[in-house]
Amino acid sequence: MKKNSYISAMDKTALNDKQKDKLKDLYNAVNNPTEEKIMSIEKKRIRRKPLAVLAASLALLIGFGTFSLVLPNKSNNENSFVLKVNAAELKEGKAVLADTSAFGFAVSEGDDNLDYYSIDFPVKYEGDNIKSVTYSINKGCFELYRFSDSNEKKSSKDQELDTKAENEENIEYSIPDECDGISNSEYAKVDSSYDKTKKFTVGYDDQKNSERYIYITGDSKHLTTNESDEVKKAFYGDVAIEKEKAAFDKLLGNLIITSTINFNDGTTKTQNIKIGTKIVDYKEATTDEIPPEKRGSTLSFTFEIV
Amino acid sequence: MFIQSKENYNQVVEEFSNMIYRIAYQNLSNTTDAEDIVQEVFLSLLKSGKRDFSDKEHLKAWLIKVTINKCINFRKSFWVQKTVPLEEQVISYTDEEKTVMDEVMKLPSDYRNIIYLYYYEGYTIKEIAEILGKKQNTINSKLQRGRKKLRAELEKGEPCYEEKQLHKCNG
Repeated sequence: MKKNSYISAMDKTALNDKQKDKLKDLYNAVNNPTEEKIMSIEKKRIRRKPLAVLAASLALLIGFGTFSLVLPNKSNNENSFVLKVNAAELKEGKAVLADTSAFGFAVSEGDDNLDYYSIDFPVKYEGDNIKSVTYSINKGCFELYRFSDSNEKKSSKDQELDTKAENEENIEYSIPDECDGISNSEYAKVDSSYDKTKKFTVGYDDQKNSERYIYITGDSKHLTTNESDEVKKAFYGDVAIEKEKAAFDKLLGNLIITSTINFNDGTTKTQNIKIGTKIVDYKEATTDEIPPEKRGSTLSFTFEIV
Repeated sequence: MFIQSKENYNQVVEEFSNMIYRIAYQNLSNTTDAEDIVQEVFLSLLKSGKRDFSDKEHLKAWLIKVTINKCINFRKSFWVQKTVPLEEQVISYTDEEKTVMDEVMKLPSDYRNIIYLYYYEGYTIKEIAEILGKKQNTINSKLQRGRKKLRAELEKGEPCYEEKQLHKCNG
């Protein structure tokens, strides 16, 4: 499966001559409306069968009922939790490497000359009696993505901006990049296809949702001009990896994520996770296949309880 | 550049109707609906009267924007939400093409548009940002996320692009 397959699939996704001729006829239809009737979209559609909706609803109800019956009773267990970064357990005082795949981290320069970073957040809690976990961040923000057509709900912000689509010249169907304007108390809608937030809560079982991706994002706004220049040189120039690490460290600053584990009995536990960097061997940093020319040292990101 | 004659208009149909159809199909996952969008876009073009496009690229960018907006509006419409299309033309993809298309179709629609404009139309991230009226960083990160979701399949063998990605571009 390669890029070429996408190109050839797109080549095949084309109109035939008959359809093109119909489009050409539109010219006369518009300039002389009596000459040609334009088929309305509605004629090509039929109403959905309500029975199918009812059946789907019933299936959901039955599924939910079954699921409820087999839920384990955790009330006898004591509260416990373990923090995991990918599969690795995170213990106090020991930094764990993020399993940084080829796309685990990116920096890019915006039109505003600022540098933006984006880091995978492959963190989850395991344990007993955990109801949910609330994460908050001291700088930058979280980006929440949900990749699923069936759940492709727009966040409230998207819907608000969507209304602008009425004006064909003014396309706005996404929300801005910056974390600015997001208050510390603002919660994301974790079921939306995209959202940005300083704080969000995820249900214990929902942590395993493979359709959701969480990233930490931020920018270089806090840097001085000189620091910013150094960062740019390190990111976009050919510099030693030590300089690159120093640039990332400067950009991230003291980036701390606070997680609050909410137990079923109403009690909570709090942990602070620091995001850092470390120079490591490629083999150590990623589970991805490593091309021969990429052997040697690289920079990876670390999660550490502080 | 005006749409001033039937010949002129026919030329635009020949040149851009497939592009509009592809964008619409990627947005709506349905050939019948995509055909309707193509028709709607050309109607808008004809009804726009003496709209002056500075050149072909300007016209192309306008058509892309209008197509995407039509798709957004189409998906939102009550009628579409309550109905299903009567007939669906099947595109004869090979197994490999179908696998790629299935993966692409699982992405949110704005990701699909960026993937299409980048890989098929060959636009740069800067150009896509200009066409869609978004920041380069937004396009960059969405392209990146989209590719991640596509399990890095589409860009196999591709050179690094503008952004710097650890392990991929950093040697």
